[in-house]
Amino acid sequence: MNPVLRANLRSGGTRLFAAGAAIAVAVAFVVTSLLMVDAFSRTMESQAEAEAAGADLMVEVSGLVDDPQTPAALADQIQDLDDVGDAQLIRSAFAPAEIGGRDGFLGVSELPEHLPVEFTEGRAAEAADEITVTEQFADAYGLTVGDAVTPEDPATGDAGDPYTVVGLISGIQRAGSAFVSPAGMDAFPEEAFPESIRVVLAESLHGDAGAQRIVQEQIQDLIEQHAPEASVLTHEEIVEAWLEDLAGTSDILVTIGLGFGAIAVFVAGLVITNTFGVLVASRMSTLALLRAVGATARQLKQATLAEGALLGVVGSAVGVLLGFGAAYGLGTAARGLWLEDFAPVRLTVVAVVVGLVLGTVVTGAASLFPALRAGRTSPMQALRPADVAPAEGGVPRVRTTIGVVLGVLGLGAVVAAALLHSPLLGVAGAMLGFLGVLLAARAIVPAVVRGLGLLLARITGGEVPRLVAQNARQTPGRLTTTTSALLIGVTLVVTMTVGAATAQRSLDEEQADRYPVDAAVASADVGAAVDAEDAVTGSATVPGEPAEETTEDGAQAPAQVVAASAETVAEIARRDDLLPEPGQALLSASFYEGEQPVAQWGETATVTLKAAGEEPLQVQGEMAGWLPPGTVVVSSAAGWDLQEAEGQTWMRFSDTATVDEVMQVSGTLTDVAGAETPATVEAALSRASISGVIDTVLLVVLILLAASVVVAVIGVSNTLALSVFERRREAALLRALGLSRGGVRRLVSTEAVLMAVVALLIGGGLGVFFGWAGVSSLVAEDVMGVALAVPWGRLGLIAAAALAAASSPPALRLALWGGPSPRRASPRSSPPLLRLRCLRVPFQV
Amino acid sequence: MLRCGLTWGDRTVDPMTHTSAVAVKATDLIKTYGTGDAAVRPLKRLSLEIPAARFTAVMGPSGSGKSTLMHVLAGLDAPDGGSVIVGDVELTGLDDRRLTRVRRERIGFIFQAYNLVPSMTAQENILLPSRLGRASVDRAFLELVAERLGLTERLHHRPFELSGGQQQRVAVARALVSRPDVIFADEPTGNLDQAAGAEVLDLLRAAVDEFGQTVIMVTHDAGAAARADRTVLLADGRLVDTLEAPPPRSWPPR
Repeated sequence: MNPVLRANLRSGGTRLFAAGAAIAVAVAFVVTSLLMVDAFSRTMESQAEAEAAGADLMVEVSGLVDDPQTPAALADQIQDLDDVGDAQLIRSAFAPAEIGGRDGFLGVSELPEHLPVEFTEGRAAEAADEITVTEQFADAYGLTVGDAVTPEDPATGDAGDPYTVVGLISGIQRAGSAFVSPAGMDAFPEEAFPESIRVVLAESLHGDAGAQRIVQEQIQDLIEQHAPEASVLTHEEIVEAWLEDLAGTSDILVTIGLGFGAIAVFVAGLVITNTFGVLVASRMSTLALLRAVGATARQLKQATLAEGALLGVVGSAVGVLLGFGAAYGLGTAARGLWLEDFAPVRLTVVAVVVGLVLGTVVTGAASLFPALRAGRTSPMQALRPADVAPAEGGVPRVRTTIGVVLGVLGLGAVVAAALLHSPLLGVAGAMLGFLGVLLAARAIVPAVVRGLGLLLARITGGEVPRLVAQNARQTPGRLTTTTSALLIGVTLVVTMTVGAATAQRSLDEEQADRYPVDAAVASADVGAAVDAEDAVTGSATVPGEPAEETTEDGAQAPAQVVAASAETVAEIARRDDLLPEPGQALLSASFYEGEQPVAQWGETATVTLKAAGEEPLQVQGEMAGWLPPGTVVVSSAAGWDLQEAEGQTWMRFSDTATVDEVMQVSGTLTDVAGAETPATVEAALSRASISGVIDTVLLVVLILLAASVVVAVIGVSNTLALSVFERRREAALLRALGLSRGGVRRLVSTEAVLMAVVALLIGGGLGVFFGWAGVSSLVAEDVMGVALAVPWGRLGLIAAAALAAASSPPALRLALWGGPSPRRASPRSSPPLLRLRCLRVPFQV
Repeated sequence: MLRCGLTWGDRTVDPMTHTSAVAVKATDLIKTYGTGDAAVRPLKRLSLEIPAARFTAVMGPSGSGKSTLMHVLAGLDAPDGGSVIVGDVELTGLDDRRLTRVRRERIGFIFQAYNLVPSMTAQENILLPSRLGRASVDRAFLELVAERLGLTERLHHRPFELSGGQQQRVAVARALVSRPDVIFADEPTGNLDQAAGAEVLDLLRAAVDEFGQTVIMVTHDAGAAARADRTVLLADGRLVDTLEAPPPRSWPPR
């Protein structure tokens, strides 16, 4: 083995370990994603196979939805074909339902007769009032055999005939979650849609691919004559089509997994470059000695590269194992908690190769630049052992130029992505732009730190900030490297935080537009009851008057006119412009339904309001979906004499109310006001479920990002180690010249705080921009405006965390590896006399 | 005094009879740092010859150019003018790779500090130049040198387990084992207390007297220079005097 490599490996210690951990975490992430997607695909494949099993041909008839007779007739005609044993029309229907005592949504299909299914309990539904459900469905609603499931007529809200659960099917089914017999399907309150005709060939031909093709042609003829919208597929074609569908889903999962994987790998690459920078800097004197006693520049370069490659191989191998372990654990958890049929996770060749190659190549490439620097070590450095390090060169023009060009291109691409709604372009642009910022940071960061130091010196009149400013000029490279590590972490976390807040706000605004009031009930007597609920933050009584809706043909329906005041709107509504102008009114959605709607759904309607003893009043009505059925809202400014006791109660829910809490309030309303009183909590429900979804998405994304943040923290720790190493002599000199121990400590912490401030300014700015652009690029075109939201509270927490990470590495490093603390090492381990012995004047001129 | 008949590569050298040969020859060396008014000229047409198998000290005040002279003679830095010949190799015009090879095979170094690679044992440090050049190692010679320097028991220790004097002995052993044409010692006693410093000077003497080595020592310590056979005095980038020391047997002075 190359003796230089061997010496390097021995002296790398915890820093190599840290870099190895960085690459291992990143590789593990990628491998886990690949293995999970692979297992998911195999799960779906086996399900597709299982469900196509039993059918020789499938006729797709969902295109014939407007013509309910034809599919049945087509099924009969197919049944009459010579080689066909059985042709069964499968229909499905959906409706709201009360399931095991809870409100839910029920989708039922006819259970295919020839589908091989396994009953864990009971049997298939046969009678019209029987239903068979999957285990998943039963678990979700706490159903067992013998329980009732009652669908509602979605138009009238009337309960239909209840079904009794007679059997449970194991596993999940592509075809649906609940199955009834054809008679049961006829009894369903909502009209059933034809889905497909499952064709099974006569006994001896079952499963024969040749016979399938012949019958396919015969069916094709029938289709051409009677139902051109239908299509017919053989067993093989069905599985293929399903797998094609599935490929789309897998592709999305792969894209998401690899997208976050790419971020983690990118961050790991930066961290490894930093780590090797630290290693090469800390070995400078040894490298110079090696050069003096006969190592060639190439040997030093190769040793550093080989070190990188070796680290890459070991780190990637550990990462592959970690990733496999994580995927295996996730797969087991999925089988236990969620999908009993989830395929076992298998270590695939693709995942192993991608993991190893990616980790090794990235680590090798990341060590390239430090390797070049190692090769440039001058042997003369060995001859002036303890000189104070000469000043680093000025601003590297090439690097800065490349950085500015990449930055402008990348950030421009991000803006384009936000405008064109193209997330992929956005991710690529963000990476490129961030790389550009990191390259250009060498020109920006030291100047800013120097400026801040001088400013601080002027304000406080202290010598320490002035020293910090001078250091910024003396060691700009070190300053930039340490700041960059912080910058990476800050940018990642701020991007996510701002992105989530922006998404939340955009959705909130859209919600406020559609649903300005969270809940309303046509009763004035519920105020005390709802105010007692934690989820309700405010309620107001709106005075009203019972009324009757008379349509043109003379039919009458109960209704209610209420008058909202500006105070009520200010207190309860989420939107200020809710109050109707004089001559205008808000109409509940019920006026737009039924035989004679007031106008086309959602459009402005002209209605006439007649109060006893008053002149009829014609108003322009706008539809307001959040109102209880039969409600007309006018402004209190219209001066109508309405009674509080005959009014409505409007409610505002807390922003954090969950779906369950909203349902509980809904129950209270029913209890207090009675089930017949019109009430709606639809707005609160929609808000609660959306905020639940956003919270879940944010949590998932943060978990996915955790890998990258861990890697970034490792990077901060490594670069701080560099700064402490380089500081020892400098600190000793300052101590010798009379700076107190506390002064050295203040010097280090002032510099750390200034670096953190710069990282926060740049990273915070980039994060806010990336967060906004990310949400803009993700929303579908022009669905809604994206309003930037900056969560100052959370950003404050991030700032505090960054300052803590920069200025108290002892805690951080101890928490991670228990190594010696970099900050304490410099002031304490430098008794001035001991160090002075090896201090010489830089140039003996 | 110990006398050794040694096989010196492909040459057989008797140290006592080979004193007239020249190990290092420098002619008209010029070196300039910076330009214009800020220019510093540490070497101004300096010429000198270092005899083989002798102990030569280079002395001079700060700024006299002695460090620069050593860098140039050892092939660490290239002169702006003039030529340097080490053994029979002309250094002028060699590229970095060839210069490195000359350093590895023909030159030994003993520095004031940072002499050893901290992550290597004493033995690995001693064998480092030959390992770097993938040359075979003369085990017997290594053992001979280690025994003479009192390092036999310490070969598998790492530098931090050795005293300052022991570390310098390891450095001397490294310079000896590769059998270079010349050993450069840069303030070898600068970092050591008096006893350890005297010990290192004894070892350098022994390298010349017992192993027939050529040693060039840069120092500003007159006491150290007094142990040399010859002392070259520099001032302002020029050679100003050469002192031949009295015969070794009159040393140490009473």
